[in-house]
Amino acid sequence: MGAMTNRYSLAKYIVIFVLVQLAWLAVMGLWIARYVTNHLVFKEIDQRYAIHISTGGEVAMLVIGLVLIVATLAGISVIFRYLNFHFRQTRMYDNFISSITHELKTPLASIQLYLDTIASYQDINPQQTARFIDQMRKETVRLNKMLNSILEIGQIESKHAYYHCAIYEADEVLRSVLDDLRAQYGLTSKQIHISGQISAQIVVDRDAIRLLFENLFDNSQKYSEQPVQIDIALTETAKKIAVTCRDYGVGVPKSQLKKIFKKFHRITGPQGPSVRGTGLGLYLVKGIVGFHHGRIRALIPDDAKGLIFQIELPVYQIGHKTYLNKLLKDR
Amino acid sequence: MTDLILDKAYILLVEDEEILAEGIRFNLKKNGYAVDWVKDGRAALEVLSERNFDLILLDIMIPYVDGFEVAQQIRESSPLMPILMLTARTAVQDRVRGLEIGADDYLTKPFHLEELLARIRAMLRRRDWYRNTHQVTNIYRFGIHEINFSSLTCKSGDQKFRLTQQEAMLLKYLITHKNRIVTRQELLENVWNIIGEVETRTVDIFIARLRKYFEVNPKKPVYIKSVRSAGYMFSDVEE
Repeated sequence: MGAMTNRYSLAKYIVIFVLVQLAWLAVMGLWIARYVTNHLVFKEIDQRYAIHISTGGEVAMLVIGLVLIVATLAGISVIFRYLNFHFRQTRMYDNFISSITHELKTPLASIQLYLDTIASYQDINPQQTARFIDQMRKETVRLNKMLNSILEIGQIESKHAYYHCAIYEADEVLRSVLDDLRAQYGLTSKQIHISGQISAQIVVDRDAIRLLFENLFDNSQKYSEQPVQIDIALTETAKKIAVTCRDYGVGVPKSQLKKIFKKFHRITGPQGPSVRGTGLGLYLVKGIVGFHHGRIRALIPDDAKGLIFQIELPVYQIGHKTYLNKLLKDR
Repeated sequence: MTDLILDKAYILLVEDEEILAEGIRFNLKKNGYAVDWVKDGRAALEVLSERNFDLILLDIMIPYVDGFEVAQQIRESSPLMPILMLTARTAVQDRVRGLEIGADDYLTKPFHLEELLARIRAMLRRRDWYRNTHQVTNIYRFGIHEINFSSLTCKSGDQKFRLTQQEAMLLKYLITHKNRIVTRQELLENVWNIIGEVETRTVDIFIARLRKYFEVNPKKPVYIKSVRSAGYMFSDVEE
């Protein structure tokens, strides 16, 4: 990728840029200093000879100079922030490339290894072969999931999401999605504990909602040191329904709470129980919630164990909410 | 399947990907090795403090303590233990870093089963060869340096340090063939036991490691010189 060299050359440019600005400031400073001393000299001459030399122009010059300095400083800080932003973006992108490589190559390595294994020995029994094929299948599912989420990001970002929204009984669609996932992850109903009830209707794409919770479950599982435990509470108000998901994993530091939804963002620092991930999952989750005109927040539980995600979606009411009607028409 | 000495080799596999680990374990056992498997760096260090292994197969991206850190700690406590790094990263600097820290070799994912087994066989053979040929005390001196090839200890003036087995073997080969140009290919074949097309970067990194120990200015080597587009040459006569 050559990203490493890019980063260094970028740093070089920033240094050059800062030096140029300093030089520019120094010139301005000299300019002002000159006018100030001139002004003083004129004043002195004024006093000594009682001749009136107009100083009004000089003061104006001084003011203009000061304004220019302030403007330049403002300009520098804006450009500096911009560069810094890109600097960080590049680094995040580097990390993304490195993690996506890991995510794609690891299942590939397993498949390759099992294929080689089956081809290498004559004395492998059918049960073993069946087991190996099963393992390879799991890895192809993982690869597929990975690629799909990358494509999904593209869809969400292009604003032309191909979602097929329909009106659902919120309680029904949420519970059926959660049950699906519970089965997919092989979890018990104790491990995914659902409480509360909702009577309202919502306008959603079922597959998108499933993908949303799949990503949250994936995270909870990755970042739990014990067997995963997720508590889900369903609540509603007149205009909104809320799904609150809480896990008991390693959680997220407070300073990171808002950043975790950013594209490519991954929490660095002391390594946790998993190294998997690409920094796309929660970005996608936020995108899906946004598409449905909802809101998502991450919160730290009172006992500071694990993490809470609170998802709010608007309630469908006939005649109201033109944007929900638009979702229904968008095909 | 392999020579007798290797049959009882005890390998530690450090790999967090369960499916891949299962496949590797199956193959190692099938080839007559005993295998212990741990899923993260913390567990690896724990197991390593309890018992010795003949070889470590170490993934870099593992939870809690990464592979680089694990390799570094292994090098401090047991310089003789062969480390084969497994990595899904392709960035050159990652591989270089692994070798600089003290891994003896690396394999990038995805890899071929034959290649994995061949690397393991080569590493174990090197270790056995080293053990068998260095029973007698074997000291070599050049400049202010004194190297004991049996204990892998070095003295440079007041400084004392230890070489890894791989470093010692490379140095030994260069010394045995001193004042003669040794090609990278030759080193790979005779020191690493690798035949065929392998990146020669590995050799360069090990040479850099040796220079760091023995040259006053590693950029202007006196003992281990580079011979452009040919290879390296050791000479202990300072010019």
